[in-house]
Amino acid sequence: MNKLKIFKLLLVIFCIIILVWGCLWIYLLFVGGRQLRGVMILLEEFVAQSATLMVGLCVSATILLLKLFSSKRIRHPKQYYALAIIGFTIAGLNSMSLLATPFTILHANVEFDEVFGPNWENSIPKDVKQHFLQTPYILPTHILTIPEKPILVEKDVLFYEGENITLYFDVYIPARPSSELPGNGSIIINLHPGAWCSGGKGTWNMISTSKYLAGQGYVVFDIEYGLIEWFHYYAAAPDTPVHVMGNFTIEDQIRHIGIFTKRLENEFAATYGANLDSVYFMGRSAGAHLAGVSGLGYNEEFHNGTFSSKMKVKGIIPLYTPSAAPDAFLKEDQETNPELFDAYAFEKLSDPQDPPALFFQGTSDGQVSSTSVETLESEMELKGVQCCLLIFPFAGHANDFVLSTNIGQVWVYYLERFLYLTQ
Amino acid sequence: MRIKKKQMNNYFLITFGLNLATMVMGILYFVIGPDLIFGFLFGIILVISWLLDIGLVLLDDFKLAKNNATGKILNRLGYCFVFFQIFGVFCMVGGLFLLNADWTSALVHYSLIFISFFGFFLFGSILAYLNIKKLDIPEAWNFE
Repeated sequence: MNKLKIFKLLLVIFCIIILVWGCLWIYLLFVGGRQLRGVMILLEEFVAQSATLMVGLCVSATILLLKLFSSKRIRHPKQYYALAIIGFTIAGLNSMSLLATPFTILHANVEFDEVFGPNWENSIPKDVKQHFLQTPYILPTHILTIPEKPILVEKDVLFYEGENITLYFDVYIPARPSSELPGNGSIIINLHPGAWCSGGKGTWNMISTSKYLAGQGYVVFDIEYGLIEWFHYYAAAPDTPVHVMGNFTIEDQIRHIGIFTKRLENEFAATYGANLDSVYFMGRSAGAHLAGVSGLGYNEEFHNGTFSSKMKVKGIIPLYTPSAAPDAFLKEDQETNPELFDAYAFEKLSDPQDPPALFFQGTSDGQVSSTSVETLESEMELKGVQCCLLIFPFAGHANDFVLSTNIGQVWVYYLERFLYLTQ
Repeated sequence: MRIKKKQMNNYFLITFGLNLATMVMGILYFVIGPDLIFGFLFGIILVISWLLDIGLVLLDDFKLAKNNATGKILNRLGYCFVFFQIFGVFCMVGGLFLLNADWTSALVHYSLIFISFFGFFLFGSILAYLNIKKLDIPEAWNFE
């Protein structure tokens, strides 16, 4: 075999690997990582966000194969065209997440109509709208990203020392006076994912969203909380700092968040020009659970004294959220102490005095099922909480990592409107 | 496939023009931002350019006389173009994902995105231009 033939053979193998990779992406788009578990759970987090670019990859691999087998076009046309059909079908199926975008938008509009009334879009002034994304999705933004607005970032600010841990936060502040921007200095407390036992602030708590919201005039605090060191999750979040690990429970984690809100009241709100009358709890996965408990529970008898009494919570934003704490992570289980369990379950905490909620959920999420979040939304609505649920077909867990994708753009479009309408 | 020289010339011209237009609109995007009408038009032109570029490679594969020196060069450029597209997708994914991380500088993220986006359409326009230039060499093509 001469060198050219070996090179062509290697190219064929390379193209086949790409197409097999495309098939795996299709599987994870449609089914998620729940069935195969292991590394698939982690892969699922990147699939829907990269599926549109996977279309380009599969098309290129197919064209390369067609070029390599161009001699077959005349001698074996059926094989040649079958190859083309297979390749382009794999590429086409990878575009399902993108093609489902209109469904996401229609569904989101219905949810917003129900909560804010059919004229909610017109209730946003034009001078405010000019700061927002003008449309839920455009393709060039997917590729060339959402242009960044000037912001200031301060990293690793200490807010708690004790119990053998140190807790820090990063803060994202608008560079322009926040009064000129839609956020008007409202506070967003951003809680990271990681199954209550891993993860940290920064990269894995979606920096792009924090930066984007700071550019809109919000003061975003990306905070740490004590993590449960004795539990090891099979899909643990990376970059877990050692200085936050301890023998904690979820009660302790909520207490740490409460400590932050008190320091916010006494010091940080003034330091960073943040508005304590408009506070949002936002979180992802386990962080979403903590955000929900904080936002729904801060006015409950059980959590009395845990949080700042001066802050006014205007909304909660849980992304791919569990609806309650796992028994094992509380000091007592549900049977022994049902009151304790209820104090950490969304539905039990919900009442008509609670702020509105904006949920993010993908239908192919292998860690949090979309059915459970839909049920949770219905239960909370029955309890009188206004809820908007944004459903993203084919999206998995943590699929808001890249802000410019079809998922990220639609999310940001409705997030910035939700924040403005509820301020 | 019966395609006349004149039709191919038109195809290459449109491909060349739209690739240039996509690059110009890519630069304008960073001036105008994600504007509704501009973004919509840009999106359409971008998709058409991409499809025409794919068609260009396939058309070359169908019509080039690969035993001729010029035909061979254009055919190999087609391979390089497809390779660049694969490379570009990896750069694009890398740039978009890194943009959310605080491991490297923004210069690296945007360089990856710009290289893949502008590189792809620049390559496409160069290939289309060379096709127009070499269309007058009858030995390089298999016309009916």
